[in-house]
Parts: sequence; C-alpha cells; structure tokens
Amino acid sequence: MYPVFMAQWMKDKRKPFTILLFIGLSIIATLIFGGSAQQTQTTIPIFGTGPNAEEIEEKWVDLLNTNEQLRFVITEEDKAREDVIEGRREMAIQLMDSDYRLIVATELPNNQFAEQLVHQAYTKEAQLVAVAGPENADKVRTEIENYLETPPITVETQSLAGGEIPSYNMGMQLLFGFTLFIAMFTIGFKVNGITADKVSGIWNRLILSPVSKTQMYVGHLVYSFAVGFFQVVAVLLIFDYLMGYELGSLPMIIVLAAVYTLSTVSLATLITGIVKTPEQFQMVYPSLAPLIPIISGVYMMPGTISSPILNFIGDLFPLGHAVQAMMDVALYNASWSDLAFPITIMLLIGVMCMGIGINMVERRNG
Amino acid sequence: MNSFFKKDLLVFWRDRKEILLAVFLPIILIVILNTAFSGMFSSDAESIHINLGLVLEDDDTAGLEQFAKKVESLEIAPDEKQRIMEQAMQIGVNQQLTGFFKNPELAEWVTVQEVTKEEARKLVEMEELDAYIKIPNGFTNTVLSAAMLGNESKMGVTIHAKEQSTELSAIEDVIHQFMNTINMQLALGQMGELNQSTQPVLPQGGKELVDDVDSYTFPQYFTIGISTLCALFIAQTIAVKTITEKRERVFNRIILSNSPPFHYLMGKVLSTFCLAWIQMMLTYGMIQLVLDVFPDKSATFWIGLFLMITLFSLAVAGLSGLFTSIALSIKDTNSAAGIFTMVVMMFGALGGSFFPLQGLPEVIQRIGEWTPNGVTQTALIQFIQYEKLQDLVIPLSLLLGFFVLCLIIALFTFPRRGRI
Repeated sequence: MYPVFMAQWMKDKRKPFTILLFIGLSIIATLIFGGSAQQTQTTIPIFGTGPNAEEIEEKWVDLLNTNEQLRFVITEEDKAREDVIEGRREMAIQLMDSDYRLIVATELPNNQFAEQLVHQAYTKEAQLVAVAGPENADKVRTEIENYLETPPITVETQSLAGGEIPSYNMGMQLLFGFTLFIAMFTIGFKVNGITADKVSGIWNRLILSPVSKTQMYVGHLVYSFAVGFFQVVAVLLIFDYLMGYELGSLPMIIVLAAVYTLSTVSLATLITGIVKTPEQFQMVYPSLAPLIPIISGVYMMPGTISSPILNFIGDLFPLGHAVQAMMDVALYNASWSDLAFPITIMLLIGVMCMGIGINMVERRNG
Repeated sequence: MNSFFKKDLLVFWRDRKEILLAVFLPIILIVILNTAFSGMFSSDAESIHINLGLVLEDDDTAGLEQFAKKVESLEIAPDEKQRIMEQAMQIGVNQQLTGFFKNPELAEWVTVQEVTKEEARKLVEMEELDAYIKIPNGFTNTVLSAAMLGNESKMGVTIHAKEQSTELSAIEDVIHQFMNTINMQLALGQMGELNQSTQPVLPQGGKELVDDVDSYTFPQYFTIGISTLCALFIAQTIAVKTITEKRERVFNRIILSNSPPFHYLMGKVLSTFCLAWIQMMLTYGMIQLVLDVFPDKSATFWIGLFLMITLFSLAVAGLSGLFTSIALSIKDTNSAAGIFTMVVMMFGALGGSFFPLQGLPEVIQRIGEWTPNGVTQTALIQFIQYEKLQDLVIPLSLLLGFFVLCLIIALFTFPRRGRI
C-alpha cells in the first residue's frame, strides 16, 4: 500500500500545478459561495419620486431599516428598475409620502417578507401622523419609540422543555453544503487515477509486482482520501479561525468530514467501476455531481422536498447526511451518540459503493 | 472535414451511456427542481397549513377585576381612575387575540383549536400540532397595568414548539406582527392629549410588475440555467474525447493520412455545435411539453429562444474547439481534463446556472454576466419579460464574438506539424 500511495504523492509532487490549482480554486469557490451564503442580508433598492424625492428617501430609509435581514439602500430610479429587470435584485421599492409600490419581476418567497415589513412601517407611520398631525409627528414618534421599548405585550418562543429554540441558520447549511460538495470534485479527480493507471498500463505492471490487489486499491484510495480530507479540513479551519464562524465542536465536525470524505471516495470508486476510460469518468462524474446537492436538499430549508421518492434517492448519497449531521453539531450541540446514526449510514453507503465499485472495476478488468 | 464530423458524431452515438446522460440529465434535473420547488413557489395559502393550539389560561373578567382593584388603590384623582377603567374595558386583550385567530383570512391556512396545556404538549410532541400558544394566567391584568400604568410587563404570550420549522416561523411572523399592531395601538392610546379624530390614511401598497411586462417564474429561471449548464458539459465531453484519441494514437494516424489537422478541429467544433443544439432543443421541447414552463408565449418568443439556443450552441462549440487545442498541446492529459471540469464549473457557478446570484457580491455578478451562459441567462430572462427581439442583438453578438474569439485562439494554439 505504501509504495502505491507514495507513487501518487510523487506524481503530484513533481507536477504540483494541477492539484494545487484544483485545491486552491475549490477553496476559493467554497469561501466565496459559502461565505456569502453566511451573509444572509438581502439588499433592496429604494427610490423616491416627485419634487421632494430626496426628502422622502431620507425619511424612509431610517424608518425601513429595522430588520437585520433586509437592507434598504437609496438608489437611482433607473438603476433600481434595471437591476430588477435583469434579475440582479429581487425587488425595488418606489417610495411616496404615505404610500409605496413594490417593483418586482417575479414572485419569490422573500418578497412577501419584505412587503410585510414595508407595509408595517407605512401603517405605523400613517397611524402616527393621524394621531399627532404632520407637524409634531417627529416628537410623537420618539415618545412612542420610548414607550414601545417596554411593550405591554411581549411574545416569546420556547421549546417544549422551556428553553430557547435555536433558529435555523440556512447560511450555515449552505456553508457546509458547499464545502463538502466542492470537495467531491477534488476527490473524484484523484480517484480517477485508477482508470488513468489502467489505460496507461501501470495497473497491469502493478499486478505483476509483489504488491497485492488490496494494497493497490488501498494505496490509491487512501491517497484520494488524504487529498480530499486535507481540502475539507483546510476550508473548515479557515471558516472557523480566520472568518470566525461558529461551527460548533471542531473535533466532531472533523470526524464527520473524515467519514464523509471516505464515503465520497467510495462513491467515486463506484463511478470508476461504471466507466471505461478516465475521460468518460471526467464527463460522467461532473455531470452527476451537481445533481446530488439538489436531490439531497442542501440548497433548501430542510423539509422543502416532500416527495418521498426524491427523499429516498437523496438519502442514497452521503452529502445530505453529512450536512445534516454537521448542522446538528453546529446548531443543536449534538452529542457523539447523536452522530452515531449518520456516521453509520455514511459508512454503510461507503462500504456498499466501495464493494460494488471495486467489483465492477475488477470484472471489467478480467 | 465531413469525415471528421461524421466520426465525432459516430463516436458519441456509439457510447449509449453518454447519449442517455446528455439527453436525460437536463430534463431530469429540471423536473426534479420543479417538483422540489413547486411547493415553495405556489402561493403560501396552498402550500402551508398550520395546526395551532391555543391555551387560554387567563380569565379576562377576573383580570379586569384585579386591575380595577389595583387602580382603586392608586392615589390619583377619582375621575382619572374612572377614565383609566373606561379605557381598560375597551381594550379587551383576550377578545382581540381570540378574534384575531378566528379571522377568516387567517383561518384559510391556520386551524386553531382551544386545548388545555397538557393536551397541547402531547399533541405538539406527537406532531399533530405545529405549535401552541399560551396566554398565561393573569395576562389581562399584566398587560393593562403595563399599558395604562406603565408597570413593566413581566409575562407575555409564549409560542411553544418542538423545533424550528417553516410553519413555526410563519406563525411567529403573524403573531409578532399582530402584537406589534396592538402595542402600537396601546402606545397611541397613551398619547392621550392628542387629537385622535382623524382617521389614518393607510398605505395602499401594491405591486408593480416592471413596466407591465410578463414576469418570469422561477422554473423558467432554472430551466434556462440547467439547459445552458448541460450544453457546457457537451463541450467538455467532446473535448476530452481528444485525450482518448491522443492516447490511442488516432490523432497521429490522422496526421499520417495527410489530411489537414485543422479539419480535425473543425470536426470537433461542428459536432459539438450539433450535439449541443440538439440537446437544448430536446430539453426545451420536452420540458415545454411536460411541464409547460413557458405558457402562452408568442411566436416572437420562440423565435428569439431559437436564435439564442443556436448562438449559444455556437459559443459552446467554440469553447470545445479551444478545449481540443489545449488537450492536444498539454502533455499531462489528466490535468487538462481537470482544468476543463474546473472551467465549466466556474462558468456554471459564475453565470448563475446553479443558483441565482442575487446574494453574491456585485463584482462576481458582473463577472458572471460575461460568461457565455451568464449572457444567455440574463438575456433570456430579460427577453421573457419584454419579448423584444432587438434586445437580443447585443447578447447574440456577444455569443458570436465568444465563438470567434475561442476559435481564433484554438487555431493559434493548435499544434503545428511536427509538434505532436
């Protein structure tokens, strides 16, 4: 096993450019996508119309910016409209003195939330003006704000046990999702070394050498594992230490990452068993890989995909289990015994894929 | 050149796995996304239904009596006490709350049942209820004291649920909003000395679809995204076949046969164009038939779509030509294939084919708009809304430019005689 492992290592060491590019780009892509997913703020352009447009904009920008998730920014009308038309922004808002219009190009779920918020702000202001009259609206507004700092009615959400319910952090899910998803490519790229060795005849020479079959496979797969694991851990460490995201217990996350990497190596081996040449692998694997996060529901809130068939197919891949388990660690402080189940499932997927994969590789060989 | 073109098509045709993948992958992906998202994008009333328990521990008559006693014990003028009590009688916190839940608009998607606390816990535990709301004993008294006398409110309404869910956040939103309204009213009520006769001019709100155009739907967005992405995969597929041909000495034999090597390149480009075009046509055709993603579109729309597909396939063909040249020039074929994967993936991600780019930094959005799939995506989204053919001129020429640029680079980097 050791010589095979070293052979792979020496190959990369001699020509480090590709693998470094691969890992480097993967890390950058993960940081960009995962990082910007963390920042869940949506920007909504607002603009006023009419002669006293600026005054209106100034007044409302403060009154609207009360929610952390939405950021209202004063924008030129033309640019705001263009951004909506070309799909760069989900919506824009035209402000009037006591009324507003949403400018939208399509119905997206986020729109409703923003609409509610704007409507509330305007209703509040209308009531206020009605009571106080436009002259001393400012004075009454401050008074009311003071009053509402200790509102008579408070609402609180509790879990059944009485504690707080941690809110679901979608950005965190995307962060883990991207980290693991992008690692699939690096892993696949390395596992493909088996088919590459085969077509170049190295595989046959190895068979003739004293190295056993098991050792040949283990050497290759352990190397792929090491590279993939290195990438995932590097990304996670950057997120945790440099960018300061709260990933929860790091040892648990890293163990999960290791188990995930292992079962993804197996998955790639399975694909290796289906294809004949490394080029075929290069086309099948990258086309199938983007399917996995979609079916596993990594891009969406849990529970969004309700079709049992899709859920079942999604459960066949390790990605969904790993992301779910990592979320449990990051959000709900899962214990080791909570993780036992996803880890077992991932290992099971790993063993199955590896078994079938190697069998198919061998059969083709014979 | 014809023979090369035929060869590439045949090589593709013989590999049935690839055919299946190329034809069905985009269709399957789109259908899956459509199923997965259909629940999310139909209006909320249809997709979400919430079962809510209401635990009413508070007795408002008793609460009011308690409050009356409290007011009585205060050292203020009797007519002031009288006024406070009159106001307090009007507030009727519990009625407002229960009335709110019986509101027919809310009843469409929220079913409320009154239960005891123990029942509610059990039902939530069994997931028969999504959440329950508890109005604690003494609530009326507390609220009135807080609202009228300025005491600090120590108990409030609590929402209890097992875990975070879409239903829970929806109900939280609704309740918070309602409570804010009541709080606001109470606050305004306290600004007693002001003139309260004018009715508030409530905002109309309303939505304006940009310039009264057709809006685009999310399924349309990802249909375009997935189909362009899969066409990019074709460029990669055809190009990596070069690597096989290089290894199996096909290319050397072609050179020996004394046919100009450029013909080989053109064969690749042409066959990629044909395959990408057929694939996209099939995808849009099937998706339209099965899911009716573009309902009620005019002939102009279909002509525009046809033009975009054709030119985009051309751009893909150019990309595959470039890839072919690179594959022939680079010695380490494995890394060549890896680089192709990366380029395609980067195009896909930056061009918004995987997911909408709205959340990403503006710089990335700008870069993404220059990738061929990004150009196609933006142009088609705009075209769906306006259906103006002249809007397509710039994106079409951009795609053509991309094709020409790729082809020129491919021709220049294509290995000369004797370098293979």
